[in-house]
Amino acid sequence: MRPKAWKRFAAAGLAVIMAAGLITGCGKKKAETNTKGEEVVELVWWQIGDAQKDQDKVLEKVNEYTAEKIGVKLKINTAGWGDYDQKMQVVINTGDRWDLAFTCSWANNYLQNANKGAFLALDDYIKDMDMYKSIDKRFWEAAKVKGKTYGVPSEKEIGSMPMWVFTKEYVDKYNVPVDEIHSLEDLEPWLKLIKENEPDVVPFYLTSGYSAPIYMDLIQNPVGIEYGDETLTVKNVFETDKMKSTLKTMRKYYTEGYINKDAATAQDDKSLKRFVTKGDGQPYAELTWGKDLGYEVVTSPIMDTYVTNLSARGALTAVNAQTEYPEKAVELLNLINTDEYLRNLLNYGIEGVHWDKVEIPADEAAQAEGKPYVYDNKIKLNEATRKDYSVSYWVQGGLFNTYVLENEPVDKWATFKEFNDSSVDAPSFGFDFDLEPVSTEVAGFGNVMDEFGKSLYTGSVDPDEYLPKLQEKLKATGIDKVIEEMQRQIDEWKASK
Amino acid sequence: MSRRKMEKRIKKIEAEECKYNQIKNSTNVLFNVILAILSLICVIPFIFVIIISLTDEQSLVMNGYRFIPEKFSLYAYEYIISAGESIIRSYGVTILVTVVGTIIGLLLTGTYAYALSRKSYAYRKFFTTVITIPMLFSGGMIANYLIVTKVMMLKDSLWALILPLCLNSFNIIVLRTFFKTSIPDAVVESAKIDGASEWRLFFQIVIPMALPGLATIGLFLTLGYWNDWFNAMMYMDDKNMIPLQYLLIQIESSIDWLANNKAMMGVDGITAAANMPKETIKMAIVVISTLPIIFAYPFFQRYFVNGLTVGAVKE
Repeated sequence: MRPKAWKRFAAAGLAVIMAAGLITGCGKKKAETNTKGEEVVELVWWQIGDAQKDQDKVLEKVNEYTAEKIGVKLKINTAGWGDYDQKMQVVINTGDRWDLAFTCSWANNYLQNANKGAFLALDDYIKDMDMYKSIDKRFWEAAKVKGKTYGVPSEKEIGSMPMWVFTKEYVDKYNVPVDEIHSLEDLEPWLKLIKENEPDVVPFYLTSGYSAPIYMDLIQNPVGIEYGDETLTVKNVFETDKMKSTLKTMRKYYTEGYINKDAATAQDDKSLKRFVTKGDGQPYAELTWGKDLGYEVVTSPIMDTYVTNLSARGALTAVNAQTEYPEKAVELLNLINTDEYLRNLLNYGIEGVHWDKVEIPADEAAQAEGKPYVYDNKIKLNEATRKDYSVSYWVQGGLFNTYVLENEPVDKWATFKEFNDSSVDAPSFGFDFDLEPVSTEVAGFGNVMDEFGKSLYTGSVDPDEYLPKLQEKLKATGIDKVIEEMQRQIDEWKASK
Repeated sequence: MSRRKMEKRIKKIEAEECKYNQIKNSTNVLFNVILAILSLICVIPFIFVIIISLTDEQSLVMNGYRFIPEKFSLYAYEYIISAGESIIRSYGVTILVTVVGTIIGLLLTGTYAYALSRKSYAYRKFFTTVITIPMLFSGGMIANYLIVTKVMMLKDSLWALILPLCLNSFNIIVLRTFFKTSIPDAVVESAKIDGASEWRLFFQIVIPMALPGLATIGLFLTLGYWNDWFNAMMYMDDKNMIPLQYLLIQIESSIDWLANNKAMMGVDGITAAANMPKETIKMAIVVISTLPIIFAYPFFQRYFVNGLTVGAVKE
């Protein structure tokens, strides 16, 4: 009697589970076709950022268009900035259904996932696509892992541009020759001037996110290759002369009282008056910063902009290696990166609801005549509805076919293009470090940098005393082994080039 | 010995005994002060949160956090009620999940624990082992995820928030012990002799007798459901069905992450951060999400102590 009851129980349970599977599984399989007779497929796209209230409304419009054009419907899933990494690991590792996903060097790690085989190699699909021709070659170069392309890059600024950000008020008042100030040392006389004359103003305002100007491609922080070093010698950044002198200067500024005392722990306090601070920017960044702070700022670049793998992999969209519809997925990305209507719809929302077209002033239009990426109109966001749909532009695709905002220069993207063209390739551009052999050592660096990094960079502690301590800890963690391994890999890479 | 003498002696002994069971007045005051300070430490942050949620955003930026703000404002609450449709919806999700989950959880835990507490139940050993195993080993995140999404097909369904939490080994064992100690076999037997069926026995005899224990488990479940966000993170891709706590966690982790990765994100980070809710709104969400559970707590509490201690001895 007993075993029988058992079996009946198990069978009933199984039946329930299967029935549940049938009910949920069957709902999706109704084939839909567009007017061309193509079957319309639904693609699931994971994006980083916060869910938007009006996303469904916008997607409805998008789907109308894409279904007709290429037979694709979109389902966009989002995970918040802080959760995206973890969420994607689960989604990828459990074989959940997804077709497209945002990936980059700092979230949902592009290199690791590509190496793991989670992403589809796109080379055969993209060769003849329009986007392959229109997007800067170096982005495609950076998207290559072991010779294969695993993602479609969003075309934006190719390198990040470290710059000094001055408050315009004081620049005007004291006639500061901003254009001539580049290095950290150039700042000194002006910091002194402000310190003496403006007691309410922090001359050099730093927050915990600050890192002193680093003249190096930090392939694996703090190990990397100095900009301009064609011999490709791997070094510890804290052993370079540039960094040593930079830290000394920072310490001097700190003891002189040019830097706010809480620099190593501070979060940006916008109400605090400051003369200069460091920002990692792009062309026209001063407009964004100014808007954020509520007053005008002017900027001056600290050094040339270098292109590294890290910077050129700032935003990509990858296709699932297991997707049922690889052609459709690539076709969709191509459309987004080349179609003006679709791109702006995805980016800003629905015209007439979230934004309206505005005319370009005649003189500005004349000035921008003939430049690339200039459109016939600018746009004005609708103040009332913009909070219901405001996505991060670079998550979905390239920026150069989006309209610029009313308060931005009409040739913004042309300037971006120029900026990208003038950026210098770091000698190490194209090299991927396989950290597998030294993963334990690398994992330890994080702790050491947490302990010393912020206080050293901001000058809060004396480098004469703390730099040796930092070095000692790095040595104990095994930095020599990492340098050796990286050197070996980079020599190999160089030989194969 | 005379009677009076005897009484005197007894009194003396009693007084002496009392001495050992009492603390000195001075110590008593000291302990009270310490406890008062401790409870203030617990309460003050919350009062602070309430105050911040009522502060004007502008004066918060200018003056920082203050106990008595320069300017009060109800803006944060207005914002949540008017524009924050998603917050209200999340609120509904949280309440629904908590109520349904607690009821289902109590029913399942109660029946399971009751069966285990009956000596006459044949598969007692087996089912005790079954629930003890997950107390010691867990399948891990990926296994959980696969079970819930692939086997149970619960992705994007509210059941994914309810079912994984409703049965918990610890709760079952606490309740089983409670049943064992507070319901004498004799009661069960006599009810049986009077002709009660098993269901009747459970609902009409056992449950009324075991109320403190059930209330305790009910409180555990309620708190668990109310505070749960992890399941939502794992199983909910549909933004319309996320509970309040997850909404809060998302906002919080986004802000943290953007603050820490500013250097990496450069200008993009600023635009992303600009879309985040402001400080006062964050605090208002905290207030709205915690108040109901704080108010619910005292109603459970009188059962709580009783129920937990009786069930505390596990065999």
